[in-house]
Amino acid sequence: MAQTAKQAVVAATAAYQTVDGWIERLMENKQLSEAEVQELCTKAREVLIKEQNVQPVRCPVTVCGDIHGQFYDLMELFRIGGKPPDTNYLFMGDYVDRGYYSVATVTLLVALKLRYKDRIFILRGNHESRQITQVYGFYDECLRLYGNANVWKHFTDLFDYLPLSGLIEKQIFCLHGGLSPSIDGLNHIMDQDRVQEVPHEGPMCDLLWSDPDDRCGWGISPRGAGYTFGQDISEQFNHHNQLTLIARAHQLVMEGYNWCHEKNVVTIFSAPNYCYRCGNQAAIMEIDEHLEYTFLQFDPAPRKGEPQVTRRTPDYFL
Amino acid sequence: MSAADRWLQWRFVQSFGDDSSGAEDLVTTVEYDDTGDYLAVGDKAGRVCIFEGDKKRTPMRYEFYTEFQSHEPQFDSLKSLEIEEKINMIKWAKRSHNALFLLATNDKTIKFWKVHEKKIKRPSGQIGSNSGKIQIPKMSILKTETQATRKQVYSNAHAFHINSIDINSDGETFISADDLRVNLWNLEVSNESFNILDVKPPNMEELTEVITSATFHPSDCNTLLYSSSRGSIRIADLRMSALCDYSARVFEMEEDPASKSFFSEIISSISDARFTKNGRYIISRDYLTLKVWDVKMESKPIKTIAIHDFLKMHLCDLYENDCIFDKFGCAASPDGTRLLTGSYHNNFTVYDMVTDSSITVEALKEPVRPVPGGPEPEPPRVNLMDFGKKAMHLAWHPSKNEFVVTGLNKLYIYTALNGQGR
Amino acid sequence: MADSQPEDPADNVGRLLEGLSNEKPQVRLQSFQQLGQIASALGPARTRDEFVPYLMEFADCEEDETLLILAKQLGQFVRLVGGPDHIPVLIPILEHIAAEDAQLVRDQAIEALCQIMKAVPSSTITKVMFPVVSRLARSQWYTARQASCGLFGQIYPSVSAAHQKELRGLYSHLAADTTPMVRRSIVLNAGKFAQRMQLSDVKTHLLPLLSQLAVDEQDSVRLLTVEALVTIAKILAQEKDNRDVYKLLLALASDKSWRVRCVAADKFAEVCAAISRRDLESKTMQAPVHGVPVEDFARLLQDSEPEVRTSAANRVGGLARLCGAGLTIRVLCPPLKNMVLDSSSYVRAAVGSILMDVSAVLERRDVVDHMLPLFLTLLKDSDSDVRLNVIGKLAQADQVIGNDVLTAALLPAIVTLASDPKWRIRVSVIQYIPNLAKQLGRETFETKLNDLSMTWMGDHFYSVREAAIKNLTDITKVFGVPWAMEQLVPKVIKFFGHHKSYFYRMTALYAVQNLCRTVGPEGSKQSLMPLVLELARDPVPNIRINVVRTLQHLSAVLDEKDVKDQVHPALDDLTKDSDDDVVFFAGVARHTPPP
Repeated sequence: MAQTAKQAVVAATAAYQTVDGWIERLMENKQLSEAEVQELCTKAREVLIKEQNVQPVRCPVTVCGDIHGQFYDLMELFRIGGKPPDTNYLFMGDYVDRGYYSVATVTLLVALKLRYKDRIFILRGNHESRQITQVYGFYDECLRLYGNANVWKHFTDLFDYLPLSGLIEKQIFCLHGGLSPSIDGLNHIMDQDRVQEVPHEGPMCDLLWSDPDDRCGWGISPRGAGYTFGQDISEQFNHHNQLTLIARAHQLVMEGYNWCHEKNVVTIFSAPNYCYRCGNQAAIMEIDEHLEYTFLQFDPAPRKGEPQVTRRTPDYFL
Repeated sequence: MSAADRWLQWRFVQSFGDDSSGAEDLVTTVEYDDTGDYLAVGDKAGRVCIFEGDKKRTPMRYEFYTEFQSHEPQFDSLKSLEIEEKINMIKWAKRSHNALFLLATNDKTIKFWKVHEKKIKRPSGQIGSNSGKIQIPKMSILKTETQATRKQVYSNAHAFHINSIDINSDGETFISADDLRVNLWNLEVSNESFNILDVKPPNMEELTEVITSATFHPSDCNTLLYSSSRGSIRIADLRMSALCDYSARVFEMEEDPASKSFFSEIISSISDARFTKNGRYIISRDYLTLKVWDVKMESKPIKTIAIHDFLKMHLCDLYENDCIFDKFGCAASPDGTRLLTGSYHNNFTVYDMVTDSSITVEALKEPVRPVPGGPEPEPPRVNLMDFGKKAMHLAWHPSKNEFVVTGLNKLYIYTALNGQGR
Repeated sequence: MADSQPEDPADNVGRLLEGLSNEKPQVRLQSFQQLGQIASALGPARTRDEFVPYLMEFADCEEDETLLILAKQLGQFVRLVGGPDHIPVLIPILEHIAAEDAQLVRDQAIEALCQIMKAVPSSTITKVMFPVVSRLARSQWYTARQASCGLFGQIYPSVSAAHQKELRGLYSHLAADTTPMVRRSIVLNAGKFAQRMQLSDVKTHLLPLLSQLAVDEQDSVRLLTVEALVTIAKILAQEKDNRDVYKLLLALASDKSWRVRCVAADKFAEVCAAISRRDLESKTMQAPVHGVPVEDFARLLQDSEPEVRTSAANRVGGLARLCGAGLTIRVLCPPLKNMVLDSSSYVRAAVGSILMDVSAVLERRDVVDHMLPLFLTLLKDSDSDVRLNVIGKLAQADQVIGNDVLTAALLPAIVTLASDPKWRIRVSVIQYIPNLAKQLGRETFETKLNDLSMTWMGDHFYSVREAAIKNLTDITKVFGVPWAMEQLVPKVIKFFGHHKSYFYRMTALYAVQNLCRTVGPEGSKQSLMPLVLELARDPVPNIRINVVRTLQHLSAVLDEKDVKDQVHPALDDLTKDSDDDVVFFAGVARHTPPP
């Protein structure tokens, strides 16, 4: 009995050893080889394919918004919230584009998902798409780091499998963008075929693109995709689905988090000083086992090595 | 001295470009290297074209040397902006024995290029080992190619459009200026730049003035000159302080309240300002005039030369068709006695400081010369002028009385008769 | 590989030779790394006659990266071409590379030439190297002239007096070169050159040359002369009269350009240390010409440019050590007093980091009078980087200030900083606490800081909690295990172990992991183990994951019997947990030896 248990442990340890090794390297911003990325994505797909469009999530969990390739700020986030597996995380999309380290960021998050499938949840954001990443930097970065587009292809193929939303203890609904006029129940979301490139319109597109608005009802989104939705819509949606809160990301908020629609909706944004110039704080929402939440705000990590314009004399002038 | 006498001093040498390429002006900047042996031209399509002087011919004629794509259209993913490939400025760095070096910039990104003759060699004969005996091959030159190699890319340092770059006389640093800021770089370091000047007000609504050009003193490494949209020129001394925000000598003319109009601010914006080679004077160009300043006198220019005074009556039309925002360049001869600037209809003006006289002619392959002893030419008739032909970019040879004027896709090179020009 | 044929070494060398002109840059670079191997296989004669000429073919057509490796490899070729007698064959190729346009490549070629020359008799140097230096220095291209500067020092001692004279002349000539790059290279290499010269020549030739470059029109040249001056000052340290060196330092310290003054401020103490040691011994510190150096330095502390003030502030400790307590109080303290209120936060941050260095020179009473108020002011600075710098020096503070004074003065500041909005500041303060505990003694600690420590353990930010927990061991070392068992452990268990929120229960487990070794087997079994066993049934899986980790720590501490009776059954239970991760970690913990 003990012998077989021991063998099982040895086997399990071996299986995790590779991923643990990757995570250790990735935490130091050392990139994986192209072959390793391919292996990572293949294995991660097996995990993600089993998740649902509305993936149930248990508390306690810490909910995070956009990261956008700001790898060193993601490290800061872990310094503030604790590292997996001690802390559980739900990331609401937009891991890539804009920032200088999209590849490092998304590789780490996917590796963590693979290693701790019940502790880490990664939803799809509107930037987890082939089309968007070709414009906003992820594609170019892959090309620069690997000399070809294979890594970009592995990741964007994997993105198709990311769940569209998460549901914490049947009460807090988490997703990247917002609501859709073609969806009024969570069961509608469950019915979607999510394994595809983010479409230009329709319910799946809306979930990743919509924004809450001060005006009531549905509105045309200035983004050219998704809709804006008013407090009436949020209230109705929460009531209908017996939810207490919609947590979403997608929009820059200066304090890192922002309540709206009379606390029916909260926006969480986890990239401090977004695009290295917006001057915003970042925030994460810690939810404990009693569903009580605390927002932790943080500033950019002290950084080095990134291109910068300084008002302090650089060493090379002296 | 009559117009004909003045004109006869200048001889058309050669031109580049063809007339058939449509009405769009592609050339955006032109610059001689410090020997005058090379001439670089930047264009709207992001290309840099280099001409090489053939010294065996008198007057020296330039020949096409090489062309390369410096900038491509780009998308700034941090700011969600399309960045045009258009080359805004080129500056030459000191050459080495087998290579030329230059900086080229578009609105956002500066690149450092090395242009050289690359020998392509291939080993011939038996290479490697032959039955245990190692063979060393013979090497032969397959061909020689002119190559442009990108040595550095300096990016992500400007929130606004870069209007000027300039290399310092120390040979190791350069500046880049946008509407509100001037950054100082080390040529070897591309990931950090030092923002030495920032005129951005805390609140953008309080913005009244932007930087229009910036340049270093030709030999004095500490002296930085920058011009503004309100017609002032400032000289900052980099020795005084690390940040130059507050310390500068201001050269500006008191405005005549009588002549103030809706357009006065627009037309007083300085499109180009630079030191003469000896550093004693500054020449500046605004919409209607070319001004000469003595660096010792801030209160007013020592000379104001009207370039196309007759346009004063037509500012409304020029505002309507956006011409009033055109930015004409200026240049000075190496000895500082002659100044050059441009106008519409491909006209350019050479002003002689010694005789206080100027000549304005249209840049043409075979320019029409005034008849000696004939009457002074009539001032141009505005309704006959071609406002699509703008002689905006010009440069003077660093050591000779020779200059280049660009107009509608063409370069025209002129030289002084007998190398004297007087 | 065991069954493959042993490779013919000639084939391997042949492949490397082919690799030198491979299409792929990566292969080329790798092959160039192995030049030594090819040369060994060829033997000295063929290397000289065929291989080096072949390599010469690459010198005028390869990329910078390749040339860099080529030059580096050639530096190790002396033996491969058959020893010192044959080095002339290596010179032309390195001379060629030394004139390349990329600075890195040139420097590497010069380094290789210097390396080769070490193996060579003087006669060869005169015959072979002198012409090289001469050619490079007279080249029409600035790159070659710039490169030549690095060779003067290397060949100088080996050539005749006549040649030395010529070299000095050439060097002076280059010092007046029209290209600033060449003049910078002259200054950069002046120290190295000086080290190889007779003392008298340094004085009569190099020092005047440096004086000339110290007034160069280019800032970048002038600022480099400071560094050269440091070396020359050290060489001339034994001279009777160092007026000229000091005069030069002073000129640079009052240069019109802030950049030059900045570097002068940075090196001021170093130059003074070299030239005035003797004066210091005679307790005069009177510099021969311009009054007291420390006053000249104090002027830099009051410079108009913040960068200069920062640079000077960073070095004020060095000056204080040189000039002693009296002058420090009289001359350096007054400007420092102003600098803690400087408008530039960089200046204040610099002052914050050196106050303790200055204090180390002073009597304790003077520290309290002159330094402590500055210290306290900076602890309350509005800029968090300034506060961070000062807190970083707290540990040094009690050595120089004395704990009684420090405690009285510092404790209120610490209490304020304990709730600083910047978490990194809270962490820094926490890291200082064990040290402070030592000074305060048990009673004061209990009344003033114990609660604070508990507050930190409940901080919202993980890293703050982590830092607070790390302290537990150190504090226990100060007050002893009985104290910890009485004061610490019950609180941890009561406030954290049974807290409603899992963050706190997690903290309790971290605390157990940290404390168990210090507390020992008996204490762990009695006081810590019950909590851990209780938490093994916690509803939150993350807690149970940490229970596994904690049990691993306890296994290393507890008696074998207790491990068997208590730890193993608990782990066995956890291998049947409902959470996969708990099962995994429990399995690993149960079946692999403790860490």
